[in-house]
Amino acid sequence: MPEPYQLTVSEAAGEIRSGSLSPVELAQSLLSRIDALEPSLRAWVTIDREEVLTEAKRREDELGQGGPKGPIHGVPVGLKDIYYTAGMKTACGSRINADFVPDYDATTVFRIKEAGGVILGKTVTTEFAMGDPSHAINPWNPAHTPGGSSSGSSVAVAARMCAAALGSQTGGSTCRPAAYNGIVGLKPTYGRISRYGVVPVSWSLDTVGILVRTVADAAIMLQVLAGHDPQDPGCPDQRVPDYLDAMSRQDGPPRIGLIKEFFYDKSTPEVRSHTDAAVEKLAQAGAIIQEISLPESFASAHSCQRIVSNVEAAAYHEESYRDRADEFGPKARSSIEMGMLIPSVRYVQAQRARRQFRVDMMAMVREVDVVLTPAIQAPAPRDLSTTGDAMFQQPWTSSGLPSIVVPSGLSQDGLPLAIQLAGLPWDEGKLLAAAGWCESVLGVSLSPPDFS
Amino acid sequence: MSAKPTHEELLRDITDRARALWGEAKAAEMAAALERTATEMEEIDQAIPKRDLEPGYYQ
Repeated sequence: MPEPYQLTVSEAAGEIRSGSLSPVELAQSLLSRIDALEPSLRAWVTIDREEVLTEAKRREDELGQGGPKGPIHGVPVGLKDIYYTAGMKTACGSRINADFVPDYDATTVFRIKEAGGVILGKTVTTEFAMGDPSHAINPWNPAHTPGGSSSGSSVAVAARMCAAALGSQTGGSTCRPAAYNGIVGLKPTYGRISRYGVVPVSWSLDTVGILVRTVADAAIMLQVLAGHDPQDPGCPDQRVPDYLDAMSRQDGPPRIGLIKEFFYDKSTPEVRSHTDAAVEKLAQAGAIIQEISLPESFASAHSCQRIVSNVEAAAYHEESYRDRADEFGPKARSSIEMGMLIPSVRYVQAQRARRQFRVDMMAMVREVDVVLTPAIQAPAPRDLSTTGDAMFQQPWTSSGLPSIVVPSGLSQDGLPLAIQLAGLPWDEGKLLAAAGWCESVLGVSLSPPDFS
Repeated sequence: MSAKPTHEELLRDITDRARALWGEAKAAEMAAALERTATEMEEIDQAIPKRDLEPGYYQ
């Protein structure tokens, strides 16, 4: 039997349900793993060991009293340090929030607890989930960025310090670090998961992200987190289907729309040939591959994303900026300042163009079951002054469509590569089913060599 | 301004705002970022949808 820290969410929850693993044993195994690796990977900000073990013991007792509370009973989960946790610091990687202790849990944190999960701790984020790199280390090669802004969550999941962690995505902050670290990243439909109690970058774009190691685990975590929240005006009352059931209903290979335009143009030759090889493997397994074209409105999609993001970040941080501008990192400060300069009419035009873009992207995706692109232009850059480029994620964030990153292999330098799939809004069931099928055909599960 | 502002007009507008808020030196430091933002606004102006399309905020 593998060490408990190696288990996926699905495996750990299954072993706990069957009685062959106790929540306390699992928590202790993960805490020991963190003790061993944290000095070299720097993925965590706050861990309250005593509280983790107390919660794990409570889960153990609950099993004996009435059985599991939910699908992740006893499974520890990491939280990017922008999620409100009652009584636990939420510093957002910033000097400004360094001592901020929320007095309530984010809706997502509440739902994790309601489903039997254990909050393992807070993971490293770039400052306010913006562009200044964090100090987290890429477990595949410390000279390369782990990506951002959900750097700590991605590193922790990749290095087996937890089986699941939450991130967030305003540009590419869940799917890009997932790809750089060789794990699965899910950015659901905008509004699918409540953002109440999540420190915002941009209200119009922010989406809760899920970082795990398998597509099935993404489905389990989405099941726990998805659903209407009246406290988040962007989280409507949409039906939440059974995602694992949707995955099991995948009746044969999917129709996949391959988007080469833009995504291949911007990729390195290695990424292009790697993606071609992955697509060929999917085709040989029966997938119908159809090359599709981007809509005309794609041309301004990245600009819309940046204008909206900068203006809304400026609005959120206005007060802090006026009093403590020097305490922001250079990239966060630059985004806020740029947002302050953009005229209101330009902001509204960006929101109008973004709506048209969403309509056009939905029409494009309707031609197939899912669309496929490379997840990243190149492996994680050998440059610690950047978190990488979000350009392959921004179109899905800007249009609000759900997307998922699935590992597809290693580069010649031994760094992770991945494919990215996207689907229609609110249809994560179909997206997860197709992603699970691709994951199974590709047969790639990555573990950083020094941390296996 | 003409119906659709030119890149130069957009750049001049936000540069003037930067000067007014933070002074000449800071506006000069921000030149590259201002140029990029002007380009982004220009790209959006090329793609403004038909007049009856409302913005999409929570979508």
